[in-house]
Amino acid sequence: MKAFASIGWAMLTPSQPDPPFFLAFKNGSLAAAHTHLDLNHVSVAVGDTMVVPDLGSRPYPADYFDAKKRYLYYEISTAGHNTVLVGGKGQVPGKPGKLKGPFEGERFTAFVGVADEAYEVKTPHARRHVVFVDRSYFVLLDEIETAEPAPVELRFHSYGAIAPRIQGGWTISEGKAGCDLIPASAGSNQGGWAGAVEAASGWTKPVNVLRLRSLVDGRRFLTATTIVPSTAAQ
Amino acid sequence: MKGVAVAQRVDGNLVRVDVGRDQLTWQCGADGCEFLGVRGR
Repeated sequence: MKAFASIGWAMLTPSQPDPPFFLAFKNGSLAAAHTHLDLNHVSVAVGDTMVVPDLGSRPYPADYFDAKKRYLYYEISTAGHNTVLVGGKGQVPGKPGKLKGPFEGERFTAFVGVADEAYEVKTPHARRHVVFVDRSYFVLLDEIETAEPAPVELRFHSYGAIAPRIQGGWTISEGKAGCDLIPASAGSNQGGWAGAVEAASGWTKPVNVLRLRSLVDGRRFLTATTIVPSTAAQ
Repeated sequence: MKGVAVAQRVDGNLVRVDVGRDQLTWQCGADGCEFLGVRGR
């Protein structure tokens, strides 16, 4: 585990160097130079493969330096990251985020990314908990509270295949690397979620996006997603 | 962990997430949620 508190980044891995897998958690400030609108983004790698990647950046076009246009590029937008949309909208430039943690206890290390009031849609609470259990798997808990009822969407990108998993959820695979990504089954009072895999448009090369969308508009969502790297699933 | 099932439920102000034989628990209030820990079921 490594936290970079001043920039709001953390990396969770069972061992270093040459970790068998890791999850990188991004918070920080949306006022930083060259920032993307990516509070609470996660990237997951297994071996040398980014199975749930950050898309990175394209060669900068001239209008990248136009503040009104750069945020329209997919890889800069919130939708282009592995994080949360609220009311179909993303985060707003200039907003501060905060990374809390690490919190450590028996069998776990945890962080909380705070993106309160960072969305285009008024969202008093937008927090993602990342819990690393037994140095084996990760559980995300997204807590979203909006001023008015709105739908919520969790997004995860991959250059590999995203296939439904027999036990529920999805298996993301790219070459020999992969992970299972498993939304918690209902049982909560949030009206359920629907998942769909689509080809993302707007990026410079083909990439898939798994969209987990609430079936109802709500003012408060608490939803858990488990990520099991394939090496931990053996 | 292969084939693990994941379920979530809310018990009052507690959010419990079952991941296979593990149970993770958060306590949630007006100021948000706090992770309490993980234990075997």
